[in-house]
Amino acid sequence: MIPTREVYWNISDAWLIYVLLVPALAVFATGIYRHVRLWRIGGPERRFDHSLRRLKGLILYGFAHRRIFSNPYAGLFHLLFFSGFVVLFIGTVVVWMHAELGLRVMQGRFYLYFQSLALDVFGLLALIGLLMAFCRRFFFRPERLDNTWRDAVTVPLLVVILVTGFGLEGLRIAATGDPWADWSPVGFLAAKLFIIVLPMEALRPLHASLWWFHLSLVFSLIAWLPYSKLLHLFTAPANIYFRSLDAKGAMIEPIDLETAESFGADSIDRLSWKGLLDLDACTACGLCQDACPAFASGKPLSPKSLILDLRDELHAQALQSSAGQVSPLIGGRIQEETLWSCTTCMACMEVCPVFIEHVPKIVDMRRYLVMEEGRFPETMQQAMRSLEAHGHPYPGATASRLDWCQGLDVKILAEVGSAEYLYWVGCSTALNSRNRKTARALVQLLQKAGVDFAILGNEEHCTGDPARRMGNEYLFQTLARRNIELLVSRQVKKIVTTCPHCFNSFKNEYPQFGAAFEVIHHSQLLAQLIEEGRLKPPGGLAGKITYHDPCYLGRYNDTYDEPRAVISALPGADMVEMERHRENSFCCGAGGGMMWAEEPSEKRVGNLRARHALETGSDILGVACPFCMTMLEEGIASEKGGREMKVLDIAELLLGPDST
Amino acid sequence: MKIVVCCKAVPGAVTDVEVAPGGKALQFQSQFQAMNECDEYALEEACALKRAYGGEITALAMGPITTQDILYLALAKGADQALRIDVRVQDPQVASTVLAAALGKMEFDLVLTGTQSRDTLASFVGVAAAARLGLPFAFAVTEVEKDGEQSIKVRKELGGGRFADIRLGLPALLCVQTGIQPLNFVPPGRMLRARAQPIRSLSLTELGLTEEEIVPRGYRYQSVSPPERVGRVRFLEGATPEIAAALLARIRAAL
Repeated sequence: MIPTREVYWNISDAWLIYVLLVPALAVFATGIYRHVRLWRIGGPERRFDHSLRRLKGLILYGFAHRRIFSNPYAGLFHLLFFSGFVVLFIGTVVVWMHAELGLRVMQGRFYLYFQSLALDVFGLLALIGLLMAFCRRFFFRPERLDNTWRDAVTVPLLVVILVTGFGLEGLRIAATGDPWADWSPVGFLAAKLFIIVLPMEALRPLHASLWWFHLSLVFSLIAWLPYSKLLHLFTAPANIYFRSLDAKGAMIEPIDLETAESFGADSIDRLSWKGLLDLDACTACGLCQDACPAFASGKPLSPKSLILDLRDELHAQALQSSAGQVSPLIGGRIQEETLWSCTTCMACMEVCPVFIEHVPKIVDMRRYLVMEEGRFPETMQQAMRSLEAHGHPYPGATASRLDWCQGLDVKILAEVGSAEYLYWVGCSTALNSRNRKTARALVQLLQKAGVDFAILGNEEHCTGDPARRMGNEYLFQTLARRNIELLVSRQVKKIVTTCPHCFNSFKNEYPQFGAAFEVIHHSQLLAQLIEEGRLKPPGGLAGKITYHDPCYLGRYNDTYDEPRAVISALPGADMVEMERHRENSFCCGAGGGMMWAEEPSEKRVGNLRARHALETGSDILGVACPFCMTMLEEGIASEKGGREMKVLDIAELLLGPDST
Repeated sequence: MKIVVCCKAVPGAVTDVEVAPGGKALQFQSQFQAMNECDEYALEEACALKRAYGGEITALAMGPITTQDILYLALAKGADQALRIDVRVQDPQVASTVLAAALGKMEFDLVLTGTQSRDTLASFVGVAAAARLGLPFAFAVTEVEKDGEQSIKVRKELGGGRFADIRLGLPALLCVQTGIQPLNFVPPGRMLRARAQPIRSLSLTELGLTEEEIVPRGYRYQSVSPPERVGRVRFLEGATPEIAAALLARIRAAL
């Protein structure tokens, strides 16, 4: 006898299935259509290119759960019910083909191995996954999760569908004495239970009513999908597929200043269609909120709430009668203080399992406030005015860009004509008394190693990074074009920077304006010089060192190993990592123009980060960014208590005690 | 009220100043041309007066085509039109001659300027232009209000932190003090839209002036020196107890 089972056993009037399915599908389709129509009010964005790369990402981050597994517990349970329902869905399609298309697939080995055993096992795994999720959400809920009635319904509904499914299998096995029952272990156990507790004649009627109940639940679920949080079944893969393929440091789109008629996003339709898809892809998992330094320091920004508030705004659009009317966003669902809390550190985007792009949205809304309204915090305005008038963001700075290198015999490019490297010092290094020591250390190292370099001196100006992050695209582009013109006229090919923000501008943002410089961060150059044997790390340093990854070097540009290689090369250095390091690093608090925000010390991100460093019990905190230096020195000074911890740039560490 | 605001384009940063060949001018090294901050206050005050009494504002500047940048800023801030006199002038005597010639061809009730320019600190051009035109004027003005049809009441600073209230007949010229109005950040969106507006320019000949009349006379720059560093800040170094001890020792020595 060929192993199989009778489809629609004990079910009469199977045609009723379609009577129920058609309305369910209609409700489903209406829901999906409404979302698609809403996304289309967004602006254009090119995300249909590179389909192969996009597909690969979809497999890696969608099916393989790469990012969800950053939290192993959540990764595990999600994979359990994800794979469970995928297998059950295939199983249902097989039944349908067998019964309705007349394809005799549900028989023989395939019936035993897949249709019976695999479906039972995966159904059980899905059930386990759901129970794990249920326990986490309702018994040991992490702070990042908020529970709504939707959450209270979703998991139990899925559990009931699975349990009734197993119940049906058990009733059928019990009533028919299925000879292949061993292949359905869960159903077999259920059958044994039913035989004990139920009289034989109750099995068939119970099966029939339970069958219709199960079917109604499944069809209700299908109808409800687009209106529930399970919409992410469709939006999450779509969002992963349409994710930005730009370098992470190049995700802020330039504005065409010649043609733009207005600037920035002040209403929901000013986001792109992909920006709107982002909103519907959010599952409110809260990983971004956990990663966010602004949230951790008590500021009025949670990346999760930001996305959910924008989503509410989007869905409110659906209720408005005419498409032409859009309500103002800022001051409505989004508060200005929220937008001026972001350090653009990208931690939210790094962890988001569905690749939502929070930071570009914040910059877009800032653009509106700055470029159209001129409305932003006073201290940031002072920095911006200084950028406009003096080409650096430090109002009141009186030093010249040559003061730092007195007595060091540093060549000026305009005077020497050419050099292998242009050392781009950066405002925060040249004009800040503490960071000048970093520049002095680096220059001495380069001289020791015999590197041919020169600086621009007073010709150097800000790259425009803070202007762009604060939303002043016009000022950014003015500075960028001026710098590119100058560098091209000085025939610069290779640039070394001490500032990861300058580094990112040259590497990822200036190419948007046709520039192509080879740029290297000083940590990379130093690691390279050590490896080539051109620099010998000094002795004399013993103790524990921890290292703080700057966002614009690490997350923005994936440079984690070189600064660590420099530290590891120091004899006697005992490197300890902070809990949050590399991709997970926690911002110093200075990015995105926040360097120029006025903040009470208990709300300073830098103080939190200083605590992380102090917790390692290290003697030295190594940094590789002038902003981090400023923030973390201040943070350590206010948090250290009785302990001592030096903050040193890796160039200073490498130069050793003769650092001047 | 018809207001003309005289604004000057100045170098972004006053560093590396040199005496130009010939000794008649200074050379400033800066890639930036910014609006002189004192004049920006004059512009803000003009905008405030326009809001209060209506009228129109004309921004007036001297300089080559690059000077247009600051006039665009003036338009973005709220000026209704802008006018550039196409001439390079640094000497304050000459500047006041040119300004007076231009103002003489314009219709206005009030001329506003700042008190001084960031680069040369002559503090003189506004007053001299008023003198050449025979206009009533006031220097270091901190408040302006209309007082009847043909006059205004202004408050100006005196020495010793005192103020004087003055009535001036119109038309008049006022050099306004910094801080008379808060400086508003100009949204770049407005700046970009201002760039689409035309800026009229006038040549020297159109003003009825000759090259001969704009030659600075009677002096020659000898040299320029950087500021001397006084009042140094010293950071005490070492462990906290050492710093505390060193600090105490210094305080004791000073007492």
